[in-house]
This record gives sequence, C-alpha cells and structure tokens, in this order.
Amino acid sequence: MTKFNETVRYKKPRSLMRKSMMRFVVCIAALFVLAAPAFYLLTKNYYAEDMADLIDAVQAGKDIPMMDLEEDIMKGIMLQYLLVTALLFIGIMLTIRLMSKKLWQPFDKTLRIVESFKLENMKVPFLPKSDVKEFERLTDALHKMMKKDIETYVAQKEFTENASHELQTPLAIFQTKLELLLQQPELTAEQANIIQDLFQMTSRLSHLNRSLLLLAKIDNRQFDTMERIQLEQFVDSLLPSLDSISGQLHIYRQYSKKPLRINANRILLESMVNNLFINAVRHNTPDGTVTVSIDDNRLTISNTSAEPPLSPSLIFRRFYRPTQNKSGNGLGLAIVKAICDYHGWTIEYQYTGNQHCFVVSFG
Amino acid sequence: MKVLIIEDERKLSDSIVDYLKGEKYLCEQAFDFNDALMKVRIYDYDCVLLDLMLPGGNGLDILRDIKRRNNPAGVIIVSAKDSLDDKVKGLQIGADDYLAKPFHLAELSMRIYAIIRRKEFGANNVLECDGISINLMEKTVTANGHSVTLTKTEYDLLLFFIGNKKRVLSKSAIAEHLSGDFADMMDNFDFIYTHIKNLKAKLAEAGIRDCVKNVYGMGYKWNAI
Repeated sequence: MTKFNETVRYKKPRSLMRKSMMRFVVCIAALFVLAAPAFYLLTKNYYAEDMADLIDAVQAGKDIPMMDLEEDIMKGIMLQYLLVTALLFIGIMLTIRLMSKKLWQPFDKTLRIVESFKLENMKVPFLPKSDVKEFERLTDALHKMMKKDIETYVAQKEFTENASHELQTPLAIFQTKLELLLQQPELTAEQANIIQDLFQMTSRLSHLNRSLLLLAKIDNRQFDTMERIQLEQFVDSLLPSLDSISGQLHIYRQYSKKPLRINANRILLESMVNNLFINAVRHNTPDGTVTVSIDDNRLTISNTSAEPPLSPSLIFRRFYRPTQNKSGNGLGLAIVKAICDYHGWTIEYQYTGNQHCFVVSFG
Repeated sequence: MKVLIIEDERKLSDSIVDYLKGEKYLCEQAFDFNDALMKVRIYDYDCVLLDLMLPGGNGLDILRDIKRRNNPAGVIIVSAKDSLDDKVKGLQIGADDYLAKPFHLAELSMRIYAIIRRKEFGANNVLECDGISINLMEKTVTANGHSVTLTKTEYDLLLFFIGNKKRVLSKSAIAEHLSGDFADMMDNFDFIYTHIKNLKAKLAEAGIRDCVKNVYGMGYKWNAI
C-alpha cells in the first residue's frame, strides 16, 4: 500500500487515443519512407516510361517510339493501390501489435493482480504504474475500491465478533438474576412457569450468541493450530457424552480396518462432529438409529427420521429451517459447512434408504 | 471459606455474592485490576473468581501474581472472552478451572465447592451427605451401607445436587452440567428427566426415598432428609 506512493517518476501520462494515434502516424511515416524506392521504381517503369522513351528518342534524333501510356497507367495504378494497401495493412498490424504488447501491458498486469485479489487476505495488492491516462485512473479507482472493501470487510467481521462478546455479559447477568429469582421460597406455580419460559429464552439466546461468535471466529480464521488426528479414536471419545442425550436411540459404528488420520483443528473438528450428532439425534424417530461410518477418506453420519428428504442446496444456509417446527437455531449445519470450508473438505447431503446422510470427504 | 470475586460488572458480581452467601461463603468483591491485585496480595482467600477483561489490566497478570507468590488460593477464570487461547493460557499459568460467560450460578457454586474440597482434603476423600457416601477417588457411591451402581451421568447428577443442596436447580443448568456443549444445542431439556428418574429409583432401592424434588416442573431440588 505504501509502495504505491513512492514509485519512480514516469513520463507525463497521455490518453490512450492520443498515444495510439501517435504510434500509428509514426509507424506509417516510417513505412512510407522505407517504401520510397518502390514508389520510385513504380513511377519510373510505368507512369514515366513513355515520357522517358520519348525524350531519349528525340535526343537521339530517332522516330517517335510506340506509346502504351494507357496500359502503363492502368498497371501503375493497380500496383500503386496494392502497395499502399499493403503498407497500410502492415502499418496497422504493427501499431496493433505494439499497442497490445506495450500500451496494454500495464492493463494486463493490473487485470491479473485484480483477478487474484482475495478479500479474506485483507491486503491491498500493489498495482503497476502506467503512463496511460485511462489506466492510471483505473488503477486509482481499483486501489480505492479494494481499500474500501477491505475496510468494510474488517469492520463487519469485527462487529459480529465484538457484538457477540458484548452480549455475553448482559446475558450472564440476566441468567444469574433468573437463578436468584428461582431460589425465592415463596414462589408460586404461576411465577415458576414464567421463570421457566425465561430460562428457555436465555438458553436460546446464549446458544445463538455462541454460534454466531463461533462463525465469526471461523470467518476471522482464528483457529490456525492444526494437528494430526486419528478420526476413529476422536469420534469414539466424543460418543460417551452423547449418551446423556440420545435416550432410546441405537448408535452404530462402522469403521474400515485402515485408520483414518486427518489434519484438523481439534476444537473445530469437535464442534463439527457434535453438530452432526445433535442433528442426527434431534431429527430422529424415538426408536431410531444413528450410524457413524468412517471409510475411504470419508466420515458419514446417517440417521432415520420421519421428515422428508431435504434440499441439499439449502440446508447449509444460515438460519434455514426446512420444517415449521422451530428446532435448533438454524446455525448448526452452517457451522458444519463453515468448518469444512475452513479445512478444505467437502460436505454433502444425501437421502438414501430412508436415511438422511451427511458425508464429509477429507479430500 | 473466603471467596474473592474479581468482576468489573457490578450487577453480575452482586448476583454471585447473593448466591454464594446462601452457601455460607464469605464473599469479597473487587471491581478493577488494582483493587483486585491489592486484595489478593493482602488477604488470604480459599478461592478467587477471576474475570480476564478488567479496567486497568489483564486478569491473567493477577493470576501470574497469585502463582508467583505461592498464594494457595484456588482460581476459577470466568471470562466473556470465550477464546481458547485464554483458556489454555490461564490453565497453563495455573488456574484451577475455567468457566465461560454466560454460566449458571449453580455450576459456578459446584466448581467452587469442588476446588475448596480438593484443597482441604486432597484428592482422596469421601463425601458424606444425608446417608449417602461418595468416594470421589473411586467414583463409587454407597447409600445406607448398600452399594449403588450409577452410570456416569447419574453420578455427575448426584454430585451436582449435593454441591447445590439447598438450591432449586433449573433444568437448563442441570442439562448443561451433564452434557456441556451438547445441551447447548438441544431445544429442550426433557432428556434430563430420565436420568433423574433413574437416579431416584436407584437411591430409593437403597432406602433413600424422595431425595430429589421437582419444583413446579421448572427445576429440581435436593430434598435433605
């Protein structure tokens, strides 16, 4: 960014039109000068041939020779026409070549830099200077635009994260005051019901807040410690905590013989697996099954459900809820998707054999 | 038992004090960095609740000071900055526990209880309460002399009740205590009902009846005999 201001001094910038006209004129002039001998020969052999013959004959005191003026002129004009056309053609070709090679070169460079520009890197790339007025303006405009974009992006990201942080404390106060209220000895059933509802809302709020914070942190790339994790062991270590909520469900594990090791951030991986589990438990039938299988560089979590197949293109969207029942906060699968994207994995949803399947492929 | 609450948000600090008073803890409050540092240097506490973002400084520096002076106080970090870095750093420096905001007072009280017990009796100790004795080391429970076999969830549940004996525990506090992040993702906390039912049945078999009372369907309370 600083580099932009301290470049060497360039020639005075001129407009693209003026520059290309200049080139063209210079090019044509040079070509015509170079072609002068050809014009000389043309004139001598066609237009001036009869005249020269006549003068020669008169000087030598001979008879007037045969004249073929008409034919000469015809041929001469044709040849001249061809020569001029050829010269113009070459001139134009040369100018175009020159233009695209030299004049448009900075534009090309700029284009390539802009193409590879990524907002997430949060860096304004250095754009080459040019002595063409229009390109200069383009570079300026692009530079300003990218800078502005990055500023907006950073502000937006910071806002989400800060907002979530700021909400934690009031939420904590709210929740603790409710707990104190709950301890009142002379509480009536009616009041208790109201407190119960409030408790549920604070849970929802704090969950929503935590989810948003997690998404913001993934977006801000704050999980950069990667480690080698053996997936089977990892999943097995998470399953016991699932026991407390899974009730009557049957949980099956199908692992292939070869253990699967992946590079991942431990916290994010845990959050991803937990979210997929919860999803499979929450939408299950009371006596249904959850199957976890690991094979062939893939993790598949599938569950039985009374719900119809879902739309694979919509379910990973933030706040998308397929059914009217307001279960979950609509961020679970969005978090799963964000975690997959973060690691460069792909996630797919399939509906096969009356089972909802989520397949994570570790590329 | 003396507890120091280092928290700049006065209302939150007051709530914590209100709740802990009922547990017969002597609570003191500090609202900024310097006040907190002065208090931990002058007085002895059994437990310190430490917020990390304080006016005037970083809570981690207070933790470092406590550890450098070999102050025996147990430290629980209570932070809104739910970042893993802080958690890892805090535990590395020597904090005994970490709790992210927002938290349940019941959970906090349980953690304080655990730390103080650990400090007083060491790791190997048996908890006696209303005819139930819990061996915290071996994680075994006997009631009226009969051995009771509990699942891990039921065992955690029992400890949670005993750690908050005179309190009404909300369903969400219990759910969060039992399954942490999972509870966070569930829409309702009906799943705890089964665990409480099973725990009650097992204790009743050993002769301890109606030890857990349902309070208007919104929470549960340990019914001391």
